[in-house]
Amino acid sequence: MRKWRLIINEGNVYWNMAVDEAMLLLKDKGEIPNTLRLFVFNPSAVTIGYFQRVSDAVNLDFLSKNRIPFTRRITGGGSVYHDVNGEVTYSVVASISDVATDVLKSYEIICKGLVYAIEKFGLKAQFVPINDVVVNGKKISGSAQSRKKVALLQHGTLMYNTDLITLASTLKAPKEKLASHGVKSILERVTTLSRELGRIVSKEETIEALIEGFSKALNAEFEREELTEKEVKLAEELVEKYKSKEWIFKR
Amino acid sequence: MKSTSQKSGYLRGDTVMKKASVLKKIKGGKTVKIDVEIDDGKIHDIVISGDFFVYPQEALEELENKLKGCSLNEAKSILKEYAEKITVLGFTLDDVAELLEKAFKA
Repeated sequence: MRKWRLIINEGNVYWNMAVDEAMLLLKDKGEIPNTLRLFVFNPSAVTIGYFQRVSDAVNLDFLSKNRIPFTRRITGGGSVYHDVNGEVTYSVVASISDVATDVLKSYEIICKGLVYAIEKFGLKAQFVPINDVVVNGKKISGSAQSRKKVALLQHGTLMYNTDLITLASTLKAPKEKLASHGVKSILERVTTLSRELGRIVSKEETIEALIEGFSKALNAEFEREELTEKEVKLAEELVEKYKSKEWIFKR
Repeated sequence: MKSTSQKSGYLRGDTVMKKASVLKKIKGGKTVKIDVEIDDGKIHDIVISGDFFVYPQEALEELENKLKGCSLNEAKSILKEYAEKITVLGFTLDDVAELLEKAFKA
């Protein structure tokens, strides 16, 4: 077993994305240990992929009417609705050499942590390359990875009780996208732990399962810690970027 | 693998600037879209967007900048060159070439 740091916290969408980027930058300089961070978005929020256009990825009208904050991630991939009462986000920040040099392989290794976590609930989960985890053919988790010279950041979701109606109203999926999934709407292609189990799963249970799942997938022994002063300071600087129109509407 | 396109044109000086937005749905679920402005047979502006991954990430913007000012054929050879040196997941640069061809013909 290798020692990893475990951080559990919560924050708004700008702060959360700033912390992830700060950890990646400091890991790349060798200043922090390999880290698993588990967190929620409070209030509920939306993040969009680095290469997406805002107008293609989200329903701006719905977001502004419902005052749902959103920002652009540094990672690629698609738009995500982070429900404060229904989704836990994980971030793995590690040396590339401690996971895998091959990008696809590293997605799989880290996503195994989600598969094992879901199996703790007695459900069968499957990693679907590039970056999805599905249960009974429905997406329950999506991940995205960004790399620097020697460090990687992979973050992603695990929906335990997300309000899927709000999710469907928030995100825009092109009709073509849905067609390729062979289903008619977002509701038919995504699911949550609670929905699959027929009972309400709690955030605490989900976090517990994620810790165990990632411990197995990464062969890691976690030690609970807090962010360093340096991480907090860097995140405080980065937060302004995530709030800025220039960054959010970059594409 | 369906694709759709929208086009519009407007007069700029004495040449017609053509704007096209072309999208391709990739098997496996990702989408790649190009928004391109073509002026006198050359790419004036281009944005490649979607829910895919590119490593290194800066390479996509760099590629977009290289494509500006290019004819279709020049663009295709730049895309070939980039396919050798960057990793793209969820689509290929051949998809971009195909979308560009559609945009030019639109």
